[in-house]
Amino acid sequence: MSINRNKLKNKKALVNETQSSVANAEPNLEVEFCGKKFKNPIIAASGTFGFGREYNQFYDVSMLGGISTKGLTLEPREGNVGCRIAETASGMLNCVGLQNPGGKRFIEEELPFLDSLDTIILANVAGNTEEDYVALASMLAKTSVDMLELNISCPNVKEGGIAFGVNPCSVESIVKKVKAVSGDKPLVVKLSPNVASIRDNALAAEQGGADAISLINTLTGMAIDYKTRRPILGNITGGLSGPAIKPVALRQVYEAKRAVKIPIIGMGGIMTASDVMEFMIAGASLVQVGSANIYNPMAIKNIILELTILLKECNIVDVADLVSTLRA
Amino acid sequence: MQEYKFTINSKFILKDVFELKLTCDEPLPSMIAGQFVHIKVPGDEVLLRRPFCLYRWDKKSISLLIQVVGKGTQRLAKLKKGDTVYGIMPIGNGFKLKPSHKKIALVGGGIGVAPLLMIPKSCLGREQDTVKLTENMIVPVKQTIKGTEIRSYLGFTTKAKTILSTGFSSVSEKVIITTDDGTYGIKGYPTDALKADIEAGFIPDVILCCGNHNLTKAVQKICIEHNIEGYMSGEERMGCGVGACLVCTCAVKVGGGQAKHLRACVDGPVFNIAEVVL
Ligand SMILES: Cc1cc2nc3c(=O)[nH]c(=O)nc-3n(C[C@H](O)[C@H](O)[C@H](O)COP(=O)(O)OP(=O)(O)OC[C@H]3O[C@@H](n4cnc5c(N)ncnc54)[C@H](O)[C@@H]3O)c2cc1C
Ligand SMILES: Cc1cc2nc3c(=O)[nH]c(=O)nc-3n(C[C@H](O)[C@H](O)[C@H](O)COP(=O)(O)O)c2cc1C
Ligand code: FES
Repeated sequence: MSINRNKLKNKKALVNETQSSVANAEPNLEVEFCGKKFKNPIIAASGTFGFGREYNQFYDVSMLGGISTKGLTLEPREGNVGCRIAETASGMLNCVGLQNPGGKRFIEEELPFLDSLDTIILANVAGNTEEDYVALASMLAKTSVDMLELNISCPNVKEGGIAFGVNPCSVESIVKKVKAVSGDKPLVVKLSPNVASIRDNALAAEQGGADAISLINTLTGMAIDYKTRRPILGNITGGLSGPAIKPVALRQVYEAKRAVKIPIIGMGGIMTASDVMEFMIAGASLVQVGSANIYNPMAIKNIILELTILLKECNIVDVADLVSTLRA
Repeated sequence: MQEYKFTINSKFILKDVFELKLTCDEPLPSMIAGQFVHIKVPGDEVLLRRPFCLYRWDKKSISLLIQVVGKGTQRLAKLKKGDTVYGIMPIGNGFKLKPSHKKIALVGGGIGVAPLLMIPKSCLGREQDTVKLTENMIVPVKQTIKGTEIRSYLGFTTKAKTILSTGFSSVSEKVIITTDDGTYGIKGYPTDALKADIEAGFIPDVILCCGNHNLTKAVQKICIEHNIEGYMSGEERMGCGVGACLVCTCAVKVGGGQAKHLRACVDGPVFNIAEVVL
């Protein structure tokens, strides 16, 4: 017992020493992930950041670790009709329904701008059929995007998306097919939280050949106007995001991390640098920030600046040291 | 577009509507009628920003007229002189007039009249009298500029809700107030009064309108029936307000083609009324 205690003490003393000697150094925010160098662990989440142009008016978006594009489909989509947003306690519901210019116009009109940025670009790939996913992924694999993020978890399009993301067998099948055409682009599979077992789906993605997984997409929900007795959203149901979903997201990242060996991008309700740290402690190597951008266009810039300060305060020299360090 | 830090310079309460005059240390960008500011509601409880059109603007201040409806506007109503509030602007395209627009009809419903009040100044340079919100009377017209004629049709549910009639009468040739219950002005809707004027021979070159769905739909019908050019600002719910999230879209048949989902925040909020799918 006493030896153990002494050991512990010595270890603590050592830690304190190294910490004090680096107390003034800037912590390292750089993260290596699937062979790509991220400046910092923070990526703008798909669907909340367009193709980066809008927020570039507020700050230089090249300071981001990465940008995940709006969900793309093979053909252009106009998205859902009617009201697409409802405010909820500590969150929001949306039912945009994958409005996007389609793969071809993305490559012609949006990618050149993204290319001009000094940040990692993840193309978020969605579709209605397996063939669509495969066709779009192989089209994008031939471009300058850095990674593909396979969105099999959009709750807002009836025909597809989520249909592939619920059942572990269909997850594995679609991941396998898309991986086969992804070439040298690392494939991140974005999982839905609206499933029986996140472990099984994470494993299915890994088995299908995913290089990484990202989670969570939005939780399916709805909002009703009691006066008119009508749903507020045009699509009746929508996807819940924002701080309200953070506890669910943390739990699912934690469970997924224990199930798979591939690295994880965590997200769901991140608003602050301490939220980023919590996700990394739960097992995420990188994080995405979504709704926070909608609340405040400067959100990610603030979080990145805040993260440096917070890491210093906690005497952490390398942000990657946080990953999967949940204590008993 | 950027975020500005404002100080509440004055607050004036009128019925369930309040006016906030916001000043800023930084020079403010010039803004026109129909453009809006996306306000961060103070505190942690309300997360989504709230869009409000300007109803007055100068280089050092903006004024908003806000109707209390729910959580966010209730919180804003608690702001006091000297408090700080943040807002993103300028957002949106705003109302514009062409040189051919000589006879102009402004049609507003409820709080939708507020952004219309800026049109005579921002489009035609007509200066408003320093109007007090409390004054609720029609004053005689003092000016007619560049051969233009503005008629304002303002609709409210009831007498207690009528606002800005004095403001409009200092910048329009004619102001018609309607109330749904007939307690003030003409009983009915502002579009009824507009129709009556059209039938009596006043054919506007353009109709500019702002209000709820029923009002904009009624104005659309008039524009199409009489082949009058029209522009509207609706009440789309907003997310980011900067064009990135696509939750605010409006179905618009641009150039009469297939309906496209345009962003009300940055592609609008003012759209050609004949092209909007309502
Ligand atoms: C371009 C534009 C300009 C506007 N200008 C003005 C103005 O000058 N003065 C004014 O009083 N009001 C204006 N409004 C309406 C105003 O934004 C809403 O009344 C306000 O957001 C309601 O917030 P709340 O929290 O009190 O209501 P809640 O009902 O609690 O709000 C819940 C959600 O619904 C949204 N919402 C509710 N009502 C409306 C509405 N009518 N239009 C759009 N979103 C709504 C809110 O923004 C919020 O996201 C404008 C709306 C738009 C789109
Ligand atoms: C308006 C909106 C649109 C979204 N669109 C997409 C999308 O196209 N593809 C996708 O994979 N996720 C989409 N998402 C989900 C986010 O990327 C993210 O997974 C989710 O919002 C949880 O993170 P948050 O709480 O930080 O927002 C969208 C979210 C919002 C709020
Ligand atoms: S509110 Fe986000 S795009 Fe218009």
